[in-house]
Amino acid sequence: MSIIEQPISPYREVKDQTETSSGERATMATWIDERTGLVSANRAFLSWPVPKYVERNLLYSLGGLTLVSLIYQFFSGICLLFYYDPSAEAAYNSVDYITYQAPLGWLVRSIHHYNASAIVILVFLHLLRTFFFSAYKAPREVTWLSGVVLFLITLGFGFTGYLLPWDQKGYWATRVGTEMAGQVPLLGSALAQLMRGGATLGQLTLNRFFVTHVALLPGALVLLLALHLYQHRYHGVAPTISKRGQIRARHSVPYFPNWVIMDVLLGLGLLALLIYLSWHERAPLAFPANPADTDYSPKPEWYFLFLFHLLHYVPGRLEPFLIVVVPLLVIGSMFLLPFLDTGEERRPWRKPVTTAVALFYVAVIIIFTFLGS
Amino acid sequence: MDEQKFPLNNVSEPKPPEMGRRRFLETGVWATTSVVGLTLFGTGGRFIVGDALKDKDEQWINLGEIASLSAGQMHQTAYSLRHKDAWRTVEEKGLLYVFSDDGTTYTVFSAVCTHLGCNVHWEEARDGFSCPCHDASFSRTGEVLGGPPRQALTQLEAKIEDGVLLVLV
Amino acid sequence: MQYKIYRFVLLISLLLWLTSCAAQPEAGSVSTVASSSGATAPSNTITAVKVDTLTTDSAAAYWANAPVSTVHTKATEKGKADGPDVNIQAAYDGKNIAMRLEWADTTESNLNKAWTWDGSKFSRSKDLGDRMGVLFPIENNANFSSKGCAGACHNLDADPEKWWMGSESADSRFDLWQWTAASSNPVGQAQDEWMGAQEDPADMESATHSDALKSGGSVSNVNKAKDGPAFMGNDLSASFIITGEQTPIDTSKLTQGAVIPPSILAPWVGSRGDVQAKGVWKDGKWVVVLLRALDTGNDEDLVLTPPKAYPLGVAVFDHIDLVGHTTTADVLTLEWK
Repeated sequence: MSIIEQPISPYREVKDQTETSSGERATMATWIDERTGLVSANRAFLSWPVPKYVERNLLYSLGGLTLVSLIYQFFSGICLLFYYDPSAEAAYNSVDYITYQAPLGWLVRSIHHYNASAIVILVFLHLLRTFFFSAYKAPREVTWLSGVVLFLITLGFGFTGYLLPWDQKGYWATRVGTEMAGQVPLLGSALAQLMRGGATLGQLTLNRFFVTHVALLPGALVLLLALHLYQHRYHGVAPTISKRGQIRARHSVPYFPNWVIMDVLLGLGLLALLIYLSWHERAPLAFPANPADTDYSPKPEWYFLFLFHLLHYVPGRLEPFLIVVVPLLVIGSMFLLPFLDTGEERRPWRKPVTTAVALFYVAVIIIFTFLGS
Repeated sequence: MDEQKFPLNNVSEPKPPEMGRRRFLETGVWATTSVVGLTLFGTGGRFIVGDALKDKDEQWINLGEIASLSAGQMHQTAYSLRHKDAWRTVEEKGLLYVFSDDGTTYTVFSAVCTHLGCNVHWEEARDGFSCPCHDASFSRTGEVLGGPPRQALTQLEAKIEDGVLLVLV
Repeated sequence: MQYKIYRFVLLISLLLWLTSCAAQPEAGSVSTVASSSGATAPSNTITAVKVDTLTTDSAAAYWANAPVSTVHTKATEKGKADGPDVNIQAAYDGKNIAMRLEWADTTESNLNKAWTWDGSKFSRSKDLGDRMGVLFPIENNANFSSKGCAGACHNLDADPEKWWMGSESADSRFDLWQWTAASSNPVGQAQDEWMGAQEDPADMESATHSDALKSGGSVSNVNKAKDGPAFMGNDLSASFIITGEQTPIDTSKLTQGAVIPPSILAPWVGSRGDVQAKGVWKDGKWVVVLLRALDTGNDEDLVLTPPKAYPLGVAVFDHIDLVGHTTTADVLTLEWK
């Protein structure tokens, strides 16, 4: 597999392949390539051998499917921007208009809504797959680190997007969310006020969340995704942990189209699922935000539910600990993982400590998500 | 490419005076970039922080005549006041609980739970407040009885002028 | 190969299951009150069932399948007794919505300030008829959505004469369907009205307006001297007079204590007549069915677009005026199945 471990560079050598194709298309491609070099660069980027064990293996399609899912999210998000009005007076009415009046608005918004959940699930599964296959090990530390940051960005999208309809759910979840930030010792209240843009939740909070959701996070996501994908291409697929896989690793298949076809098919399946869910039940829109309401019980989006629910069990004194130390510990351990686990062993059952810690995290998240729902 | 016109290869074999000039230019590029960068980030950072760290403006609001706030009973009062939210003037709405033992001194609580900011409910049967978010409970006097909050309900400054109860929010 | 198919199925089902789980909590939380106020809460949600064609028939077969929400009504005046519980159902077809409301009322009061003949002269009674109202915000309204009718009610003044209903802003209006036993029920309608901001702060009724009228509507049954009715009905025992069924008053035909309805009724034509209604009092309770187009095309009306959830409130007037009416204390939510 030495070819995988090599950096890509000889774009120009691959160029010959375009000339072997016949007809007008090839001439067109040649013309573009001679002027820009993009066709051969693209071809070189896509045509690399990957071990056969990734072919038609769902566990190796989680990353690709996440990418497809992110594309859907960008697409539906940009569509929503054509109608959304980020002002405290009009935000709710514009989302109401999108959901109940704009042609296919219900579909676009519902896809954006359900797909947000799908992305969190897919990123989480992709992360677990990478973890249990020890794919974070040298020399792939940067791939892992960029992945962890991408995971956090995904959660950031969820947190900021929830407020945008300015309905009761979003308003109260954000009120609780920013108060949680306010519990951070020393910096807390400054942090909460920076998030809100002032002492209370208002227009500036909406602007901040909006610009974070549609400009800052997408920008950061695209840059990190480029790094993540380039690292993936640069280092190739990590060695497998199964004996079967090791046997199959002797053979290789081209990345495009053999591996990509699976992502594309799964992407189609995901789109079908999203359309079905949207048709079955539209993305919810609660009544408009009313800060003076006493009856509303805030509940965050399901993927933050475990954290929200954990607070039930924690005495007030320990809360800053839970809010600061626990996330720092979890995220910190994710960042440090490739530098702590530097051994040759890749099989999870042979390194019980890392496996046990990860299983503990996963168990806590799953258990408290269910208890909270 | 005409190598005579662009003798790039010669750059790697510098003469000492050339080196000095190159380093000077390099330093110049970085220094200029740093000045531009600091200016941009400084301006942008200050702009984005804006007035976010300013404390809330306090205002006395009128809760009505004390005659209508009977003693011995917890009164839930919604207030709204005009408040500047950046470029908008909005009716800010809030919820207060007013209580008096004797009709002369009044205790006013903000309904905002000191835990994570949900609004608390008054529960007559339990003679206390409860918060729906994390099952916190407070006594009639605002002290924490159970649940995660660490601070008693916020008591607001109140005064009576001409038989009218005023509260600082 | 089989091993792979197995894994594929497993992963896809996991994904499906997780995504649908994620979808679950949302479904329930649309009704905001339901989660917080315990056992009585579910009845604050009225679920409209889909049917083929709607009628104003309160015995139509589809009502058996429509969930019944029992809502409590409370006095607007502090310390006054609560009103009856109202059983509410709703149904819709492609074009219309119908609501069936049923509440206990020991007396049928279908006359509103009627004339009474004492043998020598007429006197005007002060008795009021039974009424019922359904109130929706026309524009999205945060306050009404969380507080219900209280979000439209301004009853903080110590003097009930200064209480009024309506909105604080002209941009935020309410749609009111007001059914009256005496004047709207006989013509098969409820009066379609709307409320905006107060136009005259001294006039407590100045926020309430009737929807536009093209023709029709009732006229007051009063003679030129204003001391008695101008007409009487062909059927003297009826509690109402429909236009065309009246004759000039002839006191020789009246027995002592005879009651003459105070208006000559005719159906409203135009936006004011958008709501059809049929109410029957029987065995100590009123059963009223209201029927309206989801979208009447009139600007003063709320456009209902299923599956959007709508907040609403219901008020019952047991032969009493505005101050004495009882309303639902929490917001009701209209949902669609």
